[in-house]
Amino acid sequence: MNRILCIILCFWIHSANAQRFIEIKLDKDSLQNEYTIHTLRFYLSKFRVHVFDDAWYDEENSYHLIDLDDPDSWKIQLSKKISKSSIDSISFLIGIDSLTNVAGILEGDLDPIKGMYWAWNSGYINFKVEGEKRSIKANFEYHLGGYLPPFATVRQVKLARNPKNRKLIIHLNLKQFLDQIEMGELKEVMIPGPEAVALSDKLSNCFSLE
Amino acid sequence: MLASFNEGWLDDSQHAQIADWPEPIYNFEQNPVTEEGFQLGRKLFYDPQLSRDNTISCANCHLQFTGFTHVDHAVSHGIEGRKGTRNSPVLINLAWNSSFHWDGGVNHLDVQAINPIQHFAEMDNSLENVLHYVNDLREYKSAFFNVFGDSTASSQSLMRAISQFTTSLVSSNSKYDQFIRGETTFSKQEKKGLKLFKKHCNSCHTAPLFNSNDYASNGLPIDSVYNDLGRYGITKVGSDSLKFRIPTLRNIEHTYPYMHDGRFKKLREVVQYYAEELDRSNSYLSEKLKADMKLSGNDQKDLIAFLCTLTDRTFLYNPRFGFPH
Repeated sequence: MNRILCIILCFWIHSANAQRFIEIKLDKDSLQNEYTIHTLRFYLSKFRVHVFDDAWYDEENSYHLIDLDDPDSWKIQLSKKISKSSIDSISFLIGIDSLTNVAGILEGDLDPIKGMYWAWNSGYINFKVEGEKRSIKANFEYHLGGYLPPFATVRQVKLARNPKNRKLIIHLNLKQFLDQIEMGELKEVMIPGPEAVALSDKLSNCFSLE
Repeated sequence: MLASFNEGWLDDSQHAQIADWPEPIYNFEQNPVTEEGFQLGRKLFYDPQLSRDNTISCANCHLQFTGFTHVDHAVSHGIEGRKGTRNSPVLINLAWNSSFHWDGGVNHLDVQAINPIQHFAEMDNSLENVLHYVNDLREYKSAFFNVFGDSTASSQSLMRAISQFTTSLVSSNSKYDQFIRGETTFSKQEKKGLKLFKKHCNSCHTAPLFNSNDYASNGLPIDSVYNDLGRYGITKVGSDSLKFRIPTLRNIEHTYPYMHDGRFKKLREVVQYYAEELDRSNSYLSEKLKADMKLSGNDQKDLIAFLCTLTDRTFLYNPRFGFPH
């Protein structure tokens, strides 16, 4: 496990008076065995908490930029209290939905000043990771984005909760993602297109719920 | 209404009220144009301090007298003489456009201006720098407070201020418009040109805006310098290769040179291209151009005479759109 880089999103939903927030934890030591990460920023959006069978709660204005260099972004406050025991599963988007991509100039985490926006091909970069793979001494840069079909890159993830676990912790297994890429052949993705789609598919399988 | 047409500009309440024009696409409810907002956007538009070395403003490549394009420049250049790869587009009736740039890569007017601010071959600056600059100046701070209720400009208020100016660049008082409104008459030649235009041109350059919010290949061979594939660069869909946005023909008499790379200097070269030089067996050609055009020399002159009726001097010379004093 310690060879696996996990970004841990602790989705703590307390009952009654407790605060509810998503926490991100990063294990830098395991990361440095194989990869050096210079930049890691990504959007998680449209959080939906499924309770019991068919009911759910949608977080309002749910657009969160998670940034390795910004500790504050590792904790996301939720706006509604939900009894933990009633939670079946949670779902969210990796990236930004298409309607938001065409909505013009937005604020907060969606402000283009955050460096997660392409101006020349308007739209958000859903996921950005830059670093070095030590074994082959290769730098990589993957900027995954694009909302126009057939190369839409936003991905929905739905994860069921294990009732035995008190906390809801979402793992992003970044090593699993990077291991899937033939870095000798594909060192960078900087534009929307088939490569960004292929990597977004790989990425969507790297989230799990503890 | 007609009185304001004759003055050549529209105030904010009139965007949606031009007779027989479609509804604007720009969402004015989200960014209601006010006089103060228009003047703030105008000030930004003409401010060279937006560029990294304080040398060029938006107006360097978008000159009012030539329909807000960079006249006589095949491709435009930015700071330090750096050359871009395309002919700068006109800024005319932008509120009716659904996308921007020759490849349509920009999907909303409010995010367009990020491009020239950041582009290496244009202003080579950053949004952060521009915000620092305006947020340090008292005159901008009070203007932003008056328009947006916050003296500190954000990306959003900065971009929306610029849009308040650029959406106000409405050209609707050409001789053609006056003819349609029954205020003037066309010469025999202009009438013949109008007839030819309706037959051969209007399906893409559709009146009253004389554009389409669409992309097409007009059969031009790919330019040898930039290898510009147009829309394909945005969508990566093969059938979009060599397609470009269909631009408005309003004020076309003054917006030379023509095409995305400015390869034609004269309007007669453009008409001659469509009438005589276009290879209609070309596999990537727009379907609408596959029928023969068959324009005699006189027909071509008549068509150009009509195109010149799209010139709107009350727009091109309206001091309200010029450098703010």
